[in-house]
Amino acid sequence: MLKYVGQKILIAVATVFVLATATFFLMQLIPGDPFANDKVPVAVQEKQRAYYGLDKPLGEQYVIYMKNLLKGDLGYSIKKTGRTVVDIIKEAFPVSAKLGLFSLLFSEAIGILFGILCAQFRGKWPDYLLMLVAILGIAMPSMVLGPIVRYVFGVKLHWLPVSGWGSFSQMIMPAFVLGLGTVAGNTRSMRASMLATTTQDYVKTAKAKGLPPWKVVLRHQLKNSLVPIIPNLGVQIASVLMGSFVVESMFLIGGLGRYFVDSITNLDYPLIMGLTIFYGTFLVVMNLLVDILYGLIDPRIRVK
Amino acid sequence: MKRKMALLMVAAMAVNVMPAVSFAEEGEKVVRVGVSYDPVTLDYAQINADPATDMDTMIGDALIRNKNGEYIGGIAQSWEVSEDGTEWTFTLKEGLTYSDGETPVTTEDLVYAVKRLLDPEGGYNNSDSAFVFKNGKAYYDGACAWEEVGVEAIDDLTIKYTFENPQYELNFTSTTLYAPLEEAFVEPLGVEYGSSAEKTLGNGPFVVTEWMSDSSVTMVKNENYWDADSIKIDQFTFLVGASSDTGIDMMMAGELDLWPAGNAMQRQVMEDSGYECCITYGSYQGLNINHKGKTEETGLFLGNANFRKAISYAVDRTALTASVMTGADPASRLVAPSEGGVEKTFQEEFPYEAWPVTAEPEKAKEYLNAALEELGKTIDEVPAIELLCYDSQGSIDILSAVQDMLLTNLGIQCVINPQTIQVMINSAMSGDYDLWYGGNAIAEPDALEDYLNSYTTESGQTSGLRGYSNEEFDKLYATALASPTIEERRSNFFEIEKFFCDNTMTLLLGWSESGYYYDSQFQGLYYDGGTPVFTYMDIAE
Repeated sequence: MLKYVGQKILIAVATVFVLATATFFLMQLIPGDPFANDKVPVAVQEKQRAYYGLDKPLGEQYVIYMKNLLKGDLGYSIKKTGRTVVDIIKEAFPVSAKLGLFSLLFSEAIGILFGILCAQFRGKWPDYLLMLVAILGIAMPSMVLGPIVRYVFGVKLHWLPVSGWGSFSQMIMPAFVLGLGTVAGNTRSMRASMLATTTQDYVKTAKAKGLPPWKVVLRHQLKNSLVPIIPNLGVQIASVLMGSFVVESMFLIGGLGRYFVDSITNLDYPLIMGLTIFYGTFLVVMNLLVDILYGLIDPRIRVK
Repeated sequence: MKRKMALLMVAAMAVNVMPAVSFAEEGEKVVRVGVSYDPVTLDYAQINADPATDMDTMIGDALIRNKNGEYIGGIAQSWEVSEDGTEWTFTLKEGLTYSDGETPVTTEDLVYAVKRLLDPEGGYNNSDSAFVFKNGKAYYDGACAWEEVGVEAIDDLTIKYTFENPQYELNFTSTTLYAPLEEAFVEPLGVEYGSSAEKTLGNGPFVVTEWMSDSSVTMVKNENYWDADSIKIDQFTFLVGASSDTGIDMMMAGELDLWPAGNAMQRQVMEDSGYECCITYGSYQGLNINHKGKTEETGLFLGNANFRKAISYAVDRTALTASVMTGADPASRLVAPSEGGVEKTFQEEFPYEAWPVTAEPEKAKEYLNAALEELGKTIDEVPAIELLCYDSQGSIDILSAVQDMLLTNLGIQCVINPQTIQVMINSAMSGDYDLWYGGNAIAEPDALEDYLNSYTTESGQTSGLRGYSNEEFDKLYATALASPTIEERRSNFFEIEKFFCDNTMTLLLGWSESGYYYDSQFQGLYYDGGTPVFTYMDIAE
């Protein structure tokens, strides 16, 4: 097991290194100049460029960046004057992570429940109805769904606040809008997984013993049906925890989502690098954990 | 046991129901203002065209303030001006402190603020605004010593500024260029000064207590402010980043008190809902002309005054502002209706109509034919003109309309080139465009030093932005800049405006409005130039 984990960690470190290197050089291909500003004299812009070390040869910039990266220094943002990339991530990530976790819990719980029900009523109207609801969730983009729920539940009914972050009531609408899109996928996976276990011998035995259907589902089918869902969790958690530009903007949540878009449109090189490395590392770590978890659950994986 | 666990989890979630934005105590007057973007910084030296320009005079107090339209001493008790308007000697009020209530404000802090701004290694966005001081630019370029710069602390309470050109009272308001900075606080922070609430120290009517990046900026009344009795609002919270529809929903849901005016449709929604508004003209919107052209071929035509006039007469500004450029009024000249004259508005004192606000195709064709004759070309030889803009639907819609007008009225083909913000600015700065759609903020006392400066030959030597050089314009510019009184400045500026418009130096389309919507109980919001002043607001009982 130790060898298996060690191999996975080595691959993870190499992946992050390649990601950082590739991003550093690819970023230079984006057209434009981060310091271009028609309100600031050219001479001042040149001094700003020198301050960030962008007047040095590219190879030298890369070496400096990688050395700083090893020390955990991601540099200063160009557009958020005086703020380090690490500070920005430290401040915004917990907000996005909380929203992401909440929406993930919602989408997993609903997806699993819908999947079980669909499997139980396969080919009958509850199956079609729930799948329709789930598909609607994926078909309706958050930029359409968000304003509708905000207007209905916030402006008209005054049940929930339309903006802001911090209180439980402020989390409900954004988490619902963010999570609804993944409900469909979870429902389909769970439905297929549940149906696959229906014909297994241990399920037949449980039914033959005279167990009520809900006990057969909960005690015997559910646990085994969840196994195929685990591999997707790593990517799902990583992507959902990194925030959503649309949902965060729509509900005025100061998360990480908008930085991914703004850093590129503003050509904020240190922020682009920092966010990519942070996201990449997070994704790699989540996949690593899932691999390890999967290895623990299914010993055949370790042997392979 | 499981039930207990569930209850504990619910309790933990309930404890978490703490608002992210800090709220004032009951009975305190709080105003929540919606702003589109997060301030980049609150460092006066770096603040550059974002919501921070609306906040800086709230956290910093300069020498002179605009209080409800009247120029009063800020930190200055009194001031004397030399006859030619280039030497200003200020005496500060006694006993002033920063918002911590302890650190005294001295003239050394004013000297430090300018010295820091002009630091050649600093690379501050606003360094050039300190070039107004005598030898300011020379010091920045390393051509003279600091002692030769026109800023001198005579004693703890007296400071003398010497300027390159005459100044007027209104030059000292709406800017924190003349606000003090405490060196002992700022220096150790270096580039991080102004990047968070804890890393900011001001002397203005409000103190920043919390700044959650891309979320909110909260400032509370500074009880140590010298004019604290005039400040009625206990707390301002600027909520950052709401899109137009989110902001309107927040207003309707009672989660926001002031919301910036948007396009015509959004304004209609706000007006139908009974909100009041305070509107002014915020910027000149138009198509900047690269007089040298993106290519030699287009430069040949764009460098011709009659060709530029033909374009100007072919564009229907009324139709544009009624359809795709809502939120702006059609411009018939450079100076907007809100800009001040000496006693009345500039437009009242200097009436002028540079071009018709509706298209005049016949006149446009006359100018085009004159241009073609001068250049010895035919209409078939006119190359396609590139229209550069920011990659937003609003900009593309406007340029599509202009494209259609030029094709219909003159037979000139245009190509729209939408770009991301940094690519667009980079292209503009390097002269890689023919016509560039954008705006220029309306400034005090006029557009001379900000907007029109980029048309001078000197400016053109360092930037490819305009591709313009004209001796007559340079002379008019220098004369206006040297006007010893505001009366003469206005008069000289009118000459510049006429030259600017007669030569169609830019294709001005409209004066863009900016303002805020609010409930009638919110009172006292006004504009100083194009900058909203929230400081003296109040909430009616």
